[in-house]
Amino acid sequence: MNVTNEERRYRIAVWIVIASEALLFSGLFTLYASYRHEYASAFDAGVREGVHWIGGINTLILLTSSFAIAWSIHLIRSDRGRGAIWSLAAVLGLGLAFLVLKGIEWTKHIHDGIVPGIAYAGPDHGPGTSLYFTLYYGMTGLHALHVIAGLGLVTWVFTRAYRRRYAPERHLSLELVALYWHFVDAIWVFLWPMFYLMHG
Amino acid sequence: MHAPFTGRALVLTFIALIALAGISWVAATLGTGTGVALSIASLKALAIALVFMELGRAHAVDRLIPVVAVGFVLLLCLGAVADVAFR
Repeated sequence: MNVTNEERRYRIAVWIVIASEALLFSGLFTLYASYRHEYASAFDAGVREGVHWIGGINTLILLTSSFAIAWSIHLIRSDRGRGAIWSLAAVLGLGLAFLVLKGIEWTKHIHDGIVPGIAYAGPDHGPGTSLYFTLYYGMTGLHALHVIAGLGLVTWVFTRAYRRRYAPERHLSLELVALYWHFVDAIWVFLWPMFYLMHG
Repeated sequence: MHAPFTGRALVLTFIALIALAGISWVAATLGTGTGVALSIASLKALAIALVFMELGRAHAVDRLIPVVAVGFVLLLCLGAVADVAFR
């Protein structure tokens, strides 16, 4: 496949954005690791408080959406634009489903008094409990903002695909948006064990 | 960029990702600990990066930024681990 210099420049620009985002999240990951070491039992208990079925379903949702956007590129390259439109519609539906489930989970937590910071009124698992949930809201909230931004971008490429703007040799914007969407998925791949699976 | 991944490669990667997610779930149920959970997560992220993000077929220049970024992330993690280990 031939890649022009202009295409390479755009690709590098998106990778720089992704690299900056990765560094932002890695700072939060190391913060989590440090506090987890400090307050191991509170963090284990906090993970047990999570709505595990929502975490699991959301993981399947994002993995499937990542596949769907990669599949849409495969279809565009094979000159099957109509299939790509359906594939991108699936990405949008899955992304929205992720946010709805996240909203249900947060609503349940707030109802139980599990809120970030000094307002925390949920179960007391000792020192570090409120800190765990502050990190939980901060990191999953930041990730959700990335999902919302990603959905905006996917909507844009969906519209372009619907208007037949893509061809087998001309679909760079779709590839760049897909890179971002995959990154959002890769971040969740780490958030899932941190907030739903690692309970000692 | 070299030839893109085939549809078959994409489907197989997707199946592998779902299987790894299932293994993560079972491992957590068995209480295998953080090391196993994060190792499986790293495998999944690697599969996403290499196949879905097409780094496995990308030009060396295109690979440079993600490789450097991952290097810095690992350095940051190493610093955090060293801080905790030598307190």
